[in-house]
Amino acid sequence: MRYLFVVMLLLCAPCDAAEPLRVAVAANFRATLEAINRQFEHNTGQPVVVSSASTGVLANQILHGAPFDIFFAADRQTVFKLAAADTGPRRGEPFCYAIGSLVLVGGDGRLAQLGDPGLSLAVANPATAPYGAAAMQVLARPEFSQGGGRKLLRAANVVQAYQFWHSGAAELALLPRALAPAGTPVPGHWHLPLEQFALTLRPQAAHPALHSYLNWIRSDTVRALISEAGYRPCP
Amino acid sequence: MSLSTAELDAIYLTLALAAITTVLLLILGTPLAWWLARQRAQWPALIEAIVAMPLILPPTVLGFYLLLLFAPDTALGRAWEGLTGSQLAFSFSALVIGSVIYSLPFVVQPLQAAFQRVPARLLDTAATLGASPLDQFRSVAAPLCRRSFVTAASLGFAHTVGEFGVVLMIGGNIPGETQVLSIALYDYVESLRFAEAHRLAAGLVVFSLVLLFALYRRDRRDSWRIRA
Repeated sequence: MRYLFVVMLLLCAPCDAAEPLRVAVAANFRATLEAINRQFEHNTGQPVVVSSASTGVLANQILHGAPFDIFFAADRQTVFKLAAADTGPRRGEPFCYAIGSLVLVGGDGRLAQLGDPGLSLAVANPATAPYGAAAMQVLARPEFSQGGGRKLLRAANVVQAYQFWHSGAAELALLPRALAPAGTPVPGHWHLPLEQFALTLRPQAAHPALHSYLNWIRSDTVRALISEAGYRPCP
Repeated sequence: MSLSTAELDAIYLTLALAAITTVLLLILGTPLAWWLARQRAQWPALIEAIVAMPLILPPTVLGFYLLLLFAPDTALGRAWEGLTGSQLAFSFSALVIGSVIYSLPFVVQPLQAAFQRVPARLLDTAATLGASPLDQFRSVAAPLCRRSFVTAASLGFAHTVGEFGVVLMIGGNIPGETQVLSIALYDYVESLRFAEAHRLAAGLVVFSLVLLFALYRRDRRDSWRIRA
């Protein structure tokens, strides 16, 4: 009898009523998406669980079979590459949901500090995080060539880059505006555009709530939330 | 201080993972340890080395190979999906398989050491009385090594709770499915939610300390009792 109880406990704890929607989101958009999801959950009762990492890490997980219903990336290429990959279940059409921008935080706030080799700088890993790649494009500008010898801290994703700066480990950081609204804006033409695309990873029929979730994401309410969070709307 | 659903999910997942892994490890590890303890030849040292590898290899090595192995388009991934109807990659089952491999030495090594200390003449005597090898194990070795089973199970359980690298690579940080405590903690630290991170970290410290203290105190008490 005692064993039966233990077995039932083991089997039944995760038996929630509705199967949650599983969402993968690039680290820069996580906090915004969580606010968006809270309203959706409140309105529909449908739970949404969020997994967050850098765009490249999530794309790799998806290619290896991670069971996400929808993926919010921080760029265009990764999403189109995934949509074209013929492994895995039928994917939907990529759509743009936000356009991001970079800011510099730390020091006296002047962009010229990027040319100072004495100031340590945190960026997201350019190999996996689009914001990290954009940051490297900024640093490659001739006016910052003086700063080539700086200590560059590569974080796993933009949120960790923020944390490196926030904890004082790095004096400066190049971050998405959404994470640091008070930072100094970096001119948009200094790097490739940060168009953030999303992709459904399963046919809409695969989850009863997927269709209404997509409608919610494209609704005016959500557009307003995304703008408020520091992103520009898609064309 | 009340725990959030996400934290409760992580605690439940961690305990379920550690419990299932420990049971599987005792089932698989006992015959393996017994066999290793009874071999006189040289070559089983190779098996011993393979069992011990998770102790020294970075978890990322195991994580990398398992990530490739579990993908839906591999033979194993397809066979699993055919048998169970659900996908292996980034599932709880994948974590169980990874944990069994990763915690194997923590169960096999204490058992093997205990089995090696069982006097051969006891087993020989049992054999002359007509005990089959299985019976020798059940009636002589297993009761003598009772305590080592507790040690092996506790270490296997605790080590699985303490897993991080493998789970991060093959689990994918999915709340309610693969987000165990160590991953939830990492997630909290990453998103600067230090209050929650403190709570989980302190909980894990207390849990490990209590478990190891109980284990070592028992060994101490027993060694005194034996000397007296």
